[in-house]
Amino acid sequence: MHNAKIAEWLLSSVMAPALARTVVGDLLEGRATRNAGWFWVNVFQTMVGCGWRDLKEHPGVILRLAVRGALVQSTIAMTVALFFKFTGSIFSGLGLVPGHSSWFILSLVLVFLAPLFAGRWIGRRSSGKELAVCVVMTVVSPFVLAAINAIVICCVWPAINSHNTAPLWLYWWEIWFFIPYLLGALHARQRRVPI
Amino acid sequence: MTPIALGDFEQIVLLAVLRLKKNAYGVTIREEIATKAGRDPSPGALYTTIVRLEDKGLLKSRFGDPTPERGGRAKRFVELTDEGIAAVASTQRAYRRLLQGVSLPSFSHA
Repeated sequence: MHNAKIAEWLLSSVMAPALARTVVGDLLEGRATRNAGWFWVNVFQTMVGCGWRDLKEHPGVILRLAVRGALVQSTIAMTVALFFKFTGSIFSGLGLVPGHSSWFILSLVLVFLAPLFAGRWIGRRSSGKELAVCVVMTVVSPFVLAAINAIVICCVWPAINSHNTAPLWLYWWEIWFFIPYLLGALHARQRRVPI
Repeated sequence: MTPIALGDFEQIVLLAVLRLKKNAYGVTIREEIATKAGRDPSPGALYTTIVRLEDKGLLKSRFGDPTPERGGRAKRFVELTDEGIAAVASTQRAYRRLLQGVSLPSFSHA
């Protein structure tokens, strides 16, 4: 039954948990005459179908949530980056060089913990629509980060960081953030409704 | 009152639910559609449609008892509301009016 619980957990990103339970029940009943592949194909088909329905029926709500989530994530990431920059400057002034562990922590925060936290933030606000919001957030977050970067670095702080402005395509590696977004959102959901 | 517009697949789902009476849930609805309409809808399409029909007030649902073959999960039975029956009847009346005087090969009016 472990697979069924994972399926239920995934499906709860596109529908109410009670409905996800009955859908998994239907798929388990259908699986009796089929293989495990059929079960998982149908779990993912259902996720995609319901996620698409959410996008079509509530585009405004989902876009607003996605932009706010991307703002939260970008704010955390930039705050941490600025903190490291300032502390790094202080250490450099004292003749100390930041070690590998500092860079590892910074990287971990920027590429995993910040999007994970943003996913949790989204999960508390998009009950049953987590998948659609996370997909849209993955698409809009490069634009949001590029916009914040352009405002902060070019306008507010040009003297120090003008060389750090990057073209938009450089932010597309953030597509990876979809995974921590969804994990965070589903974790937030799980804490509210135990499976 | 303006009748609620139904899509092609929505009509098929409503008719399958109507045929199944009190035993309409995900698995039986899919089987009924496969047997009678010759389609094999994906569960995703079916559940999305059922939820949409519930939102429109054409279907209502109730939970059955948990069963072991479903890993202790309950069935979610659906049935037509009065509005659902009216919507199906209205659509079928429209079809019949459109078919009057039209002859289709290998098709006879019931």
